Amino acid sequence: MSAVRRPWRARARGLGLGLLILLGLPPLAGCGGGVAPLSVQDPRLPAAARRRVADAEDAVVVARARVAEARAQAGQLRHWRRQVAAEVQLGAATAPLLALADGRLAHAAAQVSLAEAEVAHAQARRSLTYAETAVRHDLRLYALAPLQATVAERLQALQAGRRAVQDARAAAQAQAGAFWQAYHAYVRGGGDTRSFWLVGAAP
Amino acid sequence: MHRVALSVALTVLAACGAPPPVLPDPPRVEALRAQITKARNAIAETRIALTRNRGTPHEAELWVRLAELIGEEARYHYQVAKAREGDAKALHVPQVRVLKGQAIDLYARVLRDWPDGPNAPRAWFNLGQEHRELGDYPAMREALGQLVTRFPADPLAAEALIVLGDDHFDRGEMAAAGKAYQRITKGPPSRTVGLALYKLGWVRVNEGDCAGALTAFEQAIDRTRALEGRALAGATIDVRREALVDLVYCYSRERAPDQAAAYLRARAHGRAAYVAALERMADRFGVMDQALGALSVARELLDVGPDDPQRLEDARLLHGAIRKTGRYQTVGEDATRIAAVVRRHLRRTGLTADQRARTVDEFEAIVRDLGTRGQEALFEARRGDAVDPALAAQVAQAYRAHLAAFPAAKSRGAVVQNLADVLSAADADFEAGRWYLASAQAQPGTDLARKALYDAVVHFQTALQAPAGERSRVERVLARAQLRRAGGRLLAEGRLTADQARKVKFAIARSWYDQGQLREAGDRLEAVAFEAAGTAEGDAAVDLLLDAYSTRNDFLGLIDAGRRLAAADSPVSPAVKARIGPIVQAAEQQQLDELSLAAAGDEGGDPQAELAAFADRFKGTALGERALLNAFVAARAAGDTAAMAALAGRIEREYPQSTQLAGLLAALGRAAAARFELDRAVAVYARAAALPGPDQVALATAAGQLRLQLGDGAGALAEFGQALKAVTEPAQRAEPAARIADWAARYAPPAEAIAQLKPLASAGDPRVWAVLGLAQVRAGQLDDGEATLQRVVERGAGVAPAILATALYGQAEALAKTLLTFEPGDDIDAVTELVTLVEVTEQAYLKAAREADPAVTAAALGRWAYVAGQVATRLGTLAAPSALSGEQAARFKAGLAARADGLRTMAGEALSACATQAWSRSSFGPPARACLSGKAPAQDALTMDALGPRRPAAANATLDDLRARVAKNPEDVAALRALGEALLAAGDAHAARLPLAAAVRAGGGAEELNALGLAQRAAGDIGGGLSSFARAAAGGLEAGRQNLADALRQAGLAAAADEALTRYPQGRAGGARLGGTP
Repeated sequence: MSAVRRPWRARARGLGLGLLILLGLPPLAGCGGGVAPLSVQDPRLPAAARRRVADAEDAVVVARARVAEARAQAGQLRHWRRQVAAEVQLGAATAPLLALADGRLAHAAAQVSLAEAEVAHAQARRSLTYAETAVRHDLRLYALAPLQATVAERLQALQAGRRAVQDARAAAQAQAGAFWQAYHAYVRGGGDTRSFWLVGAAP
Repeated sequence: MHRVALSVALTVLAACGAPPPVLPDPPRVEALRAQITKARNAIAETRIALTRNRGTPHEAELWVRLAELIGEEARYHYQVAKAREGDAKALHVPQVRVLKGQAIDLYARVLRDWPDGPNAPRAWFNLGQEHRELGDYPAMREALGQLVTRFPADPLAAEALIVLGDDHFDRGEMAAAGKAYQRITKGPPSRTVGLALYKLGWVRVNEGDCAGALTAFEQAIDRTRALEGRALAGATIDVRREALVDLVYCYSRERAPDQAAAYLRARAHGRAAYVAALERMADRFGVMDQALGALSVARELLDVGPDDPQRLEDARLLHGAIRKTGRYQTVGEDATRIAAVVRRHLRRTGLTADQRARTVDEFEAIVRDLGTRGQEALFEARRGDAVDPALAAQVAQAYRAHLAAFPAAKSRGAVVQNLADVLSAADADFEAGRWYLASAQAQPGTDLARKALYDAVVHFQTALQAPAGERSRVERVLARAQLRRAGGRLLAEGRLTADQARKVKFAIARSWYDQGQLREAGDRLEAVAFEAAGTAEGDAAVDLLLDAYSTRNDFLGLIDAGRRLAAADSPVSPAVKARIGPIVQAAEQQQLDELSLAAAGDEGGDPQAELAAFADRFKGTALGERALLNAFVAARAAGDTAAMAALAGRIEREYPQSTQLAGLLAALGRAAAARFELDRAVAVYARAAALPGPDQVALATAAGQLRLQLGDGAGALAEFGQALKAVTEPAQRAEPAARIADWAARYAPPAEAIAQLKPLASAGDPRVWAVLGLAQVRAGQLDDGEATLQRVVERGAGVAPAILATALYGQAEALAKTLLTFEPGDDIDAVTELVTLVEVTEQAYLKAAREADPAVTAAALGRWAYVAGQVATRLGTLAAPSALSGEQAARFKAGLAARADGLRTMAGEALSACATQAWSRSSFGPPARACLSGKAPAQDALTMDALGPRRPAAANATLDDLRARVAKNPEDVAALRALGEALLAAGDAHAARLPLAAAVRAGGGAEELNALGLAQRAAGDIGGGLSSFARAAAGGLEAGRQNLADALRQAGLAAAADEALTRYPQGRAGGARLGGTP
C-alpha cells in the first residue's frame, strides 16, 4: 500500500466528493493547514489505532511534565547560585564552588532546552500519528511527507539537545572534581566550612 | 357626654400604652389564710354531708375526713403563727389546741363506734399524729401502739412504727428504735422498708456498729432500688441518696479506702447522689488524712463533679494525696485532670484578675510539682538506662498538660527540657527530638539551648534509624526536616566540638539521603567524607555517597566521585579506598550497560557517539574495548556499515589482540554483504579469516563465494584455499571443498580441476566427486573418471539431483568417448559390442537427462544427438566382417543401415527435445543454446558461460541511500531492484545481479526479472540473462519479450528469436531494453 491512499476510489459515492474528484481537487487537508486531532474514543478507529493515538498524546504530556520538572530544578539552582555568590566563604575553594554552580546551572539549562525539544518532537510525532491514522483508516487525506520531515527535523534538534546535555554534564563533572579538590585542601588547612553547610551544598 | 367619652378613650389609650403593673406574690400568711378559709369551707361542707349520711356506710369515713380537715386547719393556724412570730421556740396558738382537741375527739368517736372498721387504722394513726403534734407523746405511743397491735398488716402500721422508732431514737432508746425499724423490714416491700433500713443504719451508727450500719444502709439502698418504677406515696426523702451519703462515715472506717469511689459508683443511682457521696467521702478522707482513699475519690470528683469551686479543693486534695502516697503511676492523667479543672475554673465569669493569677500560680506549681516528682520517681526506679515506659509516658503527659494549661508560665522552658529528658529516657526519640528543639527555642542563645539542639539532632537521627514500621511517613518527614533545622542552627552558631560538628553534619547529610533526595545528599555526604575521613561518619558517608549515585543510576557521577575519594591524595582511609575500587569498576560496567541499552532502543539519542566517548575515556582497558564493541553492535542494529567499519577499524587498531575481532569483522562482513557492499564484504571476510578463531574456514569460504559471484575465479580459489588451510577438523573441509568444486565446474580446465579436486576427494563430498569425475572423463582418464563418478551414483539417495545428474552425465560422456573411438575392425563380436555400447550410451545420456537439472538435461540430450549422429554415420560406413558370407554381409549392412537410420531419427528427436526443454524450463545455457541453433554439440556441453571482467562501481550517495533502505528491510523489493539498477547503471553488472536476484527471491515480478536479465547478460552470463528475459516475458513484460528476442539474435539464434516473439504474446510496457532503450 502506498503511503497516501486514495479513499475516493472506495467512497466516491457522495456528490460533493465526486465533484471534487471531477474538478481534480482531492481534499488534501495536509497541504493547506494543520492536522485535525483524533479522539481516542473515535468509534471509527480500531483499538490498536486508538492506542497509538493515545500513546502519542501521552508522550506530549510526559514531555511537558519533564519541562516543568527541569524548569523547577533550574530555578532551584539559580537561587542556590545566588546564595553561593552572596554568602559562601571558603577561601580558595570559593571560586571553584562558583564555577561548579555555574556548571550545574548550565547543565540544568541544557536539560530545560532538551525537555522543550522533547515536547516539540512529541508534538510533531503526535501530528504525524493523527495524520497517518486518519489516512490509514480513510478518515481524511494528508500529505505525510511534510509531517515526516518535521518529525525528522525535530528529532535532529532533540539529538542536538542530548549532546548539549551530555557536554554540560561532563563540564559540570569536571568542575565538581576541581571544587572537591579545592575543598579538600581548604579543609586540610583548617578552613571554616560552615558557609558550605548552610548554603553551599546543592539544593 | 363627649368629654366623658374622650376621657375614657384617653384613659384606655394611656392604659394600653403603659407598662403592666408589678404584681407581687401574695404574702405567705395571706396564702395560709386562704388555706384556712378553704379548710373551713371543707369542714362546713363535710358537716353538711354528715347530716345527710347518718347511718350510711360512709358515715365513719366522713367523720375521719372531718377530723383530718380540722387537723389541717389547725396546722395552718400553727404555720400562720410561726410565720408571724418567726423562729420563736415556744408558740402560743390557742386555735391549734382547740382544733386538735376537736379532731382528737372525732377520732375517738370513730374508734369507739367503728373499732374494727376500715377507717380504724387511719383514725388510730391520725390520732397518734395529733397527740404528737400536741406534744402528748405517751398518748401518741398509745394510739400508734394500738394501731400496730390491732392492724399489723395495714400499711399505716409501718408508718406508725417509723414514728414510734423515731420517738425511741429521739429519746436515745436505740435498741427500741432498732426493734421498731426492724419490725418494718420484715413486712412486705414498701417505701417504708427502705426508710426503716436507713433509720436502722443510723441506729447502728449511734450504737457504734459501723459494720451493721453499712449493711443497713446498703440494704436501704438495695430495697429502695428494688421499688424503682413504683409510685412512692408519702416519700419525703430520697432514701437511696441519703443512705449513700450517710454510709460514708462508716465506710471510711470499715472498708478499703482505695475502693471507695468504685464502691460508691456501684451503689449510686444517679450522678447527683454519686457526687454528693464522693464529696462527703472526700471530706471524710480529708479529715482522716487518708491519702490513699482521697486519691480515687478526688480523681472521681474531678472527672464527674460539676464545675464549681469545690473542684479546686478536690484538685488540691488529689495533689496532696499523690504526694503523700508517692503513687505516680497515673501522674499524667492526674495532672491532666487538674489542668482541665483549672482551665474550666478560669473560664468562669466573675473571677477577678487577682483571683485568676493566684489560681494560675497555685495550680501551675501543683501540676509542675506532679511532673517533676513523677520524673524523680521515674529516674529513681531506673534500672541501668532503662526506665518504666508506662511511667515515662505518664510523666510526659503531666508535662504536656502543664504546657497546655500554662503556656505563659515562667517555668515553661524548664518543663520543656524536663519533658524532652523524660522522652529521651523512654527512648521516644522522635518526640524527644521535637521537645529538645522546643526547649532550645524557649531559651535561645544559652548553653542549654545549644545542648538541647544537639540532643535534638541526636534523637531525630536515632528516631530515623528505627525500623520503617515504627514511624509514620509524616513523622519521618518531620524528623528529617527538624533535624536539619536544628543541625543548621548548631552549625551556624559554630560552637560545637569537632566531634559534635562531625556527627551533626553527617546526620544532616544522612537525612537527605534517607529522604531519597539524593542530589541534595550528594554534596553533603562528599563534604563529610573529606572533612571526617577516617571516622565512622566519614566512612559511612563514602558508602552512602556512592550508593546515592548508584540509586540515581548516575554511574558517571559515581565513577568520578569514587575516583576522587580513592585518589592518592584523598584523606579517605585505605580500607575504604579498597572498597571503592570494585564499586567504581562495577559502576563503569553498569554505565556501559546503560549506554548499550540506550543504544539498543533510544530514539533521539546518539548512543554510538556516547559509547565512543566512553571508549575514549577508558581507552586501553577492557571496558574501553567493550564500549567499542557495544557501539559496533549499536551501529549494526542501525544498519550503519560505515560506522561499523570505523568502529571495527578502531578496535583493530586499539585492541589488536581482541578475541572479538574476528567475530566483529564477520558481523561487519555480513552487514556489508546484506547491504550489497560486496567488495567491502569480501575484504572484511578475508581480514576476519586471517585472524585466529573458530570461524576462519567459514569466513574464508564466504569471501571466496562472494568473489565467485563477482566473477573473480582466481580470487575465489585463493580464498577457498585459505579456508582449507584453516581447517582444523575434517568436517570443516566439506564446505570449502564443495565451493572449489563449484569453481572448478565454471572456471577450471580438466587438468586444473583434477589437480584441485583430487586431494579433496577423500573428504567424501559427492559434489567434489561429480566435478572431479567429469574432469577426469574430459581429460581422458576414463577409468578413474568412471570410478569417481560411480561413487556418486552409489551414494544414491541423499545426493542432490543436480550432482547426481552431473555424475550420470559424466558417465554418459565416458561411454560416448569409448563409443566414438571404438573400432570394431573385422571382428563380428566387436561389432555386436559396438551396438551394445550404443545402447548403453543412449541409456546413460537419457538417464542423465531425466534428472531434474535443466543444464544437464540440455547437455545430455544435445550430446546424445551428436553422438547418435556420429554413430549413425559410422554405422553407415562400417564394412561387413570378412567372415560373413555375401548374403550375410548384405543383411549385416542392411541392419546397420536401419540402425543408423534409427539413430539419426533419435538424434533429431534429442536435439528437438533439448530445444523444447530450453523454452519450457527457460534454460538457455550453452548446451541449450547449441540445441536451439540446430547443431548438436560436438564437445562436452556441460559448460557455463564465462563471466566477463568486472568493473566495480564507485561509491555514491544514491547507492548509499539504497543500501540503507535494503539494510533496513532486506525484502524491500523496490529498494533491491533500485539498488541493482543503480549498480548496473554504474557499470557493475556483476554486483548488480545479486540485489536483483534477491529482489526476485523476495517476490519480485517481471520487471525485476528483466532487470536481472540485463545485469546477467552484461556480466557475461548469457544463459542466465536469456533465462531471466524468458521469465519476464512469461510474466507479461514486453521489454522482457523483446530483450529475449534480441539476446537470442545476438547469440546467433535468429530462429529462436523469432520463435520467442511467437511463443510469448506481446506484453505490457515497462522495464529497460537491451542497449539502454526504455
